Amino acid sequence: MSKGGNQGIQETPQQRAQVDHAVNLMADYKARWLPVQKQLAAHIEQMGQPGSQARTAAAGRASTDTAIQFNNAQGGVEKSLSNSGAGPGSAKFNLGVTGTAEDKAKSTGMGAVMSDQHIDDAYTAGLSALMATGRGERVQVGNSLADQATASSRQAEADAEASLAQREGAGQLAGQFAGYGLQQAFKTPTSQGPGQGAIGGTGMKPSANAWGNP
Amino acid sequence: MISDTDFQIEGAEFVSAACAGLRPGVASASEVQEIQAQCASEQALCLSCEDGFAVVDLRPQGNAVEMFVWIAVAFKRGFYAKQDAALDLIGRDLGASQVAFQSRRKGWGRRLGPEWRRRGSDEFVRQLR
Repeated sequence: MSKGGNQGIQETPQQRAQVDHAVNLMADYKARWLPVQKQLAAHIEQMGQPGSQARTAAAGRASTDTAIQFNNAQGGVEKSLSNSGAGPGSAKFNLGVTGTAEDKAKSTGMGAVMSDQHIDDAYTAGLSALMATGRGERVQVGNSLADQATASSRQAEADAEASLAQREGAGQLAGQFAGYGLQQAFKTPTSQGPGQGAIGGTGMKPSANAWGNP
Repeated sequence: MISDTDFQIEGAEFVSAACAGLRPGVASASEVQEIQAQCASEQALCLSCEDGFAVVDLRPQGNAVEMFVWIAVAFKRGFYAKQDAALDLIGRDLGASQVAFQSRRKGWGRRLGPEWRRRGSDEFVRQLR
């Protein structure tokens, strides 16, 4: 750069101070932002570990979502069963309510697996973001975590609704079978064979709704 | 990340790695070495995002502080347009009030907006937004 023993332009003390000031500004900037950057990297790294706080929190959230949704569903099933004439303690009532509990257990398990997968997704996206940090990728990390929250809630809700529909359906089916059985029993004997109307023949009008209104 | 932009701070070694595939004429090997040495001695800052990277330093201009861009390399098309505002944010956060760069390519003069003014034969300056 310098030629022929040129000593270059001497800086005045004021210029030197200005340069020092500029260098200090840069050092201050690095001191402010490097820890943030490292912290984000460490956070993403830590999130990927088995049993990490993010995983535990996600599993807990999924479990809570399931519990809330299934409490609503169970209430719905109980109401529906009561409306259909199945009192608490009856076989039909217990069938419906127990079925809901089984569905809840399945949904909780599914929710845990799903939330864990979402943390994996967020971790992978986070690693990519660290390698090439870009707004799009950071949004992806954020979305992965947000997805986990909404997806577990949505899944729990869907499971609970499906359970409600299924259990209500099972209750109705049990009612229909019972109704069919009674209807057959109350049928007037025909020549088609023995057994029919064995306990019937009272002249009572057979009702398909003898055991609940489907 | 830094200054709420897409950029992150890179180590000095990033410079030579990222400049390895540059077209001849953009920056010579000695220039790349010089830029890397500036980063290593904390006289310059290497910033990267998925769209590209830039090495900047701060230098006094009168009573103001200027963010001077030593080199900016696009990894993706549209880096400058997309990250222009982000570099402004970083410049402001650094304490600078204007940004400047030097280019051998005369085409820059036609591409830059009216907010840029020419300084000397091959430098361009504008106030940070």
